[in-house]
Amino acid sequence: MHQSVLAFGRSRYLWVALAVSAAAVAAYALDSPGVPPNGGTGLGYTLGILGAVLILWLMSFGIRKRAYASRAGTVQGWLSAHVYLGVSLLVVVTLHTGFQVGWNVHTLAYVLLWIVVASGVFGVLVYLRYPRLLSNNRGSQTKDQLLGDLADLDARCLRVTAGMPAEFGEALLANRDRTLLGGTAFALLAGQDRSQILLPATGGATVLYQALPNPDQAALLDWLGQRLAASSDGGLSRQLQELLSLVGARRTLLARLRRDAQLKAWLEVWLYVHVPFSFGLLAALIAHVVSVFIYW
Amino acid sequence: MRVLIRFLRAGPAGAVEQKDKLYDGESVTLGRATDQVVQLKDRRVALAHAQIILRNGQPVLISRVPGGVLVNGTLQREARLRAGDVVTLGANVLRILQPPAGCELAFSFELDPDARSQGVALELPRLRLAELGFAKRRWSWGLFLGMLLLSLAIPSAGVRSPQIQERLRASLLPDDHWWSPGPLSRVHEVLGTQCEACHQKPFQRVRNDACLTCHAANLHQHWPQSGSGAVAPEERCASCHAEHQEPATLVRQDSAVCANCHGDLKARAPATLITARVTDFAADHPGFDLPVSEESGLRFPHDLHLAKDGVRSPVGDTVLGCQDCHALEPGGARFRPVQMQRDCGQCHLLDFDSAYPERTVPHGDATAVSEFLLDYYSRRYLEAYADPRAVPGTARRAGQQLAAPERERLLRTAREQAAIVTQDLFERRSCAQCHEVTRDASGAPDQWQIRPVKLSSAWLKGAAFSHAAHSTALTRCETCHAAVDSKAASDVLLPDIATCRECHAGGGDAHATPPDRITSTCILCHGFHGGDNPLWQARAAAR
Repeated sequence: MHQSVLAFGRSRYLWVALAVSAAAVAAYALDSPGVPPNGGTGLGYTLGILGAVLILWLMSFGIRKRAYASRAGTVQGWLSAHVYLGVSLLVVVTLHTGFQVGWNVHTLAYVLLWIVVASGVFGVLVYLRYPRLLSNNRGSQTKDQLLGDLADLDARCLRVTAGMPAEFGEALLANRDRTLLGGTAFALLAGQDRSQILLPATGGATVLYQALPNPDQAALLDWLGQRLAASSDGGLSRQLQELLSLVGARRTLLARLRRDAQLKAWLEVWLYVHVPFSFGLLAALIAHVVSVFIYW
Repeated sequence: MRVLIRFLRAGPAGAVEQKDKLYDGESVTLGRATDQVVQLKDRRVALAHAQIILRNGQPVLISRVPGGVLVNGTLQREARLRAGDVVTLGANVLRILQPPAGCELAFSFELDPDARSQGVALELPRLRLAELGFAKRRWSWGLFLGMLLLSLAIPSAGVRSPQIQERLRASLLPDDHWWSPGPLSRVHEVLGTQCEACHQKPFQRVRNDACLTCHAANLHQHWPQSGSGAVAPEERCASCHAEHQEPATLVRQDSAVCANCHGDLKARAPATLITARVTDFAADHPGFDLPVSEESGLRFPHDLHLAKDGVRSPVGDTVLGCQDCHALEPGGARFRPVQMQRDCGQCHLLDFDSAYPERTVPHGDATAVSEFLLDYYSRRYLEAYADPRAVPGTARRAGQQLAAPERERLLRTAREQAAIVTQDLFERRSCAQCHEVTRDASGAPDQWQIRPVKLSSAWLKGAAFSHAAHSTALTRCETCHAAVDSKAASDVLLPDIATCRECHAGGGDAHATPPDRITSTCILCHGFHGGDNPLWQARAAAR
C-alpha cells in the first residue's frame, strides 16, 4: 500500500519537528539575555548549533539515499524526517537570528536557507500531486512508446501524401521536421508549443513559401481544411480527410508528450534549486561561523 | 527580398532531383531551429547560424555564431555573396547561383553526400531538463565554491594583509564589512568600517586594550591595569558593552551581568569590602545603610509645621506644604539645601526690638549677633533714638554734648539692655527655637555657641536617585517620607527598601515582573564606572 512520506510512521517526525519548534519558541520567549536577542547570547549559540547540526544532517540525506546497502532506517523514513525537520529549521534559525537582519553574510545564509526550504516544500507539493497526473496522461505507455507512435503517425501521413500532389508531401514533411518538443526549459515547464511549418501561400502566379507558427498543428489543419473545401476531386477529398484525421491524432499525441515532459520537468526543476542552493547554504554557513570567530 | 532556393535531392540510381522554391521575406535565416527559413537538421549547426540580407541590393551573408561561417573554404563573419560562392554549414552545402529575373538571390541547397551517410542530421527531441544543460552537481560546486570565495576567502585575505584590506575596501569586492552582524552604536559610528580598530587579532575576542586605546583617559579608576581594583583584569569591557546590536545599545541593562560577581563577590575579589551577596533587587538586595537618627544640630518638628490647621506665622495661621520650604535643584535629582533666610525666614523673623520690628539680627554668626546688639543699643542710647517707650530721663535733646559721666552711664545702660536682649534671643526667643545653644562663663561676645548645623542632601550615596523621576501621579512626598508624624529633627525621614519594592520589582528575570511593578535591574540605580560614586572613589584612594 502506498503511503505518503508525510504520513510515514503515523507522522511521527511531524511531532518531532513540532516539539523541536515549540521548544525553541518557548526557550526564546523565556530567555532574557540583557541584550537584544541575537545569535551571540547563550540561547543564540544553542539555537545556532542546533541549526547547523540540522543542516548537516538534512544534507546527509543525499548520501543516505544513495547508500542502498545502508540499514540505518528506511529511505522513506529519512525523507519524512528530512521534510518535517527541514521546515522546523526555519523556526530554529529564525529565532537564532533574533530577528536581526542586514546586508551581511549572516543574513545571506539565512536567505539561502529560506530558498532551500521553500524549494523543498514546493518539491513535496509537486511530489504529492504530479505522479498521479503523469501516469494518467501516459496511460500505461512509456515516453519511448509515445515517440514511437508519433513516428508511426508521421510515416502513415507520408504514405498517404505519396499519392497526392507534391505540395502535400512537402507540407507534411515540413510539419514533421519543424515540430518542436521541449528544447528549452521554459518550453518544457510552460508546455509551450513553438512548432512551425513551411506552407505555400498562393500569391498570384508564383507560389511563395512562408514559415508559420503551428501550435497544436493548427496552421496545418487550417490549410488542409481549406484545401478540402476547395477540392472538387473525390479521391483527393478522401485522402485529405484521412490526412486530417491523422494530423488530428498527431495533435493529441503531441499534446500528451508535451504534458508528459511538462509534468516531469516540474517534478525535477525544484531539485535544481534545492540541491545547488543547499550547497551554497553550506558554504555560507561555513563563512558565517568562521567569520564570527575571526572577529570574535 | 525574393529568393529562389533550389533543393537538390539524390534520386534513385544516382540521378539528382531538383526542386525550386520561391521565398519572400526580410531575410533568409539558416539554422537548426524550427523558425528558420532554411532548417538545417545538423547538430553542428547552431539554432540560428547565419542570415542572408540585402545590403545596397547585394546579398550579404552574416554569421550569427562567433566563429564565422565557411565561405569558399575560409571562415568569415560577413561575406558578400556572388554567383559561384560556396557556403558550408555543417553537412549542408549552399551554392550561390545567378538569380533569375525578379529574384535578388538564388542558391542551391544540398546535403553533403558523404555527411548524410553518417546520419549526423537526425536529432531527438530534448524532453528532460538534464538534456538542456541543467546540472545539479556542477551548479552545486559552483554555488559552494563561489559562496566560499566571496564570503570567506576574499574578505579573509584582507584580514591577513593591511595592503589587501585597503585595496578590498576601495574596490567592489567583498571586504570584512560583509561580516558585520549589525550596526555600531552611534558613539562608535566614527570607527566606520575599521573593523580592526576593535578586532585586533583574528580568532581572539575583543580585548580591553582595544577599548583603552581611546578610553584610557576617562575610565576613572575602574579598570585598573594593576589588577587590584574593583574589577578583575580578566573581565572584559565587552561583557557589559555589547556592540553590533539591533536596536543599537551599548550598555547591558540586565542584572545578570552584575550578579555574576556580586552574587559572590568574596570569591571573585577577596579584597573587597562589600560583604553583601546581591543578585536581584527584589530577592536579596540588602536594606539601605541609613543612620538611626540624624545629628543635624537643629530642633525641627515636621509635624508642627505640617499641622492640618496650620502653623502660627506673622500673618496668622498658615497651612504649610513640603514645597513651602523644600525646592528641587535644577535637574530635579535632589532638593537644594534648606537655607534659613530663604526658606524659614518668612515666619522665623529675627527681630528683637518691638519698637523697631524691621530691625533684625544677622543669621549665621553667633558672635556677630552679640556684637550687633551691643552696637545697636549703644548707638540708640548715645544718639537718643526717639523711643516712645524709653525710660524717662534717659532721653536727651539732639545736639546736646554729653558729659563724660553721662556718656559712661548711657553706655552702661546700653550694655545692660544689649545683654538682656542677647540672652533673650539666644536662650529663649529666636535662636533657641531651632538651634541647640550653649553658653560659657566668659561673658565675652562669643560666649554663646550654636551647635553646627549639618544637613544631609543625599542619603543613598551608592545609588543615583532622582526625585524628578519619581514625581508621578501615583506618588506624593508622604508616600516615601513620613514627615507629618515626625516630632524631632533627628528623625531620618527616608523610606526603607520595602517602600521601594512596593513599585520596584526585581530585574533578574523580566518575565517574572508583575504587571503593576517596574522591572528594576541594577543599573537603574547604580552606576558602574567611578564618577562621583564614593564607593569607587574610596576604592581608588585606597590603592
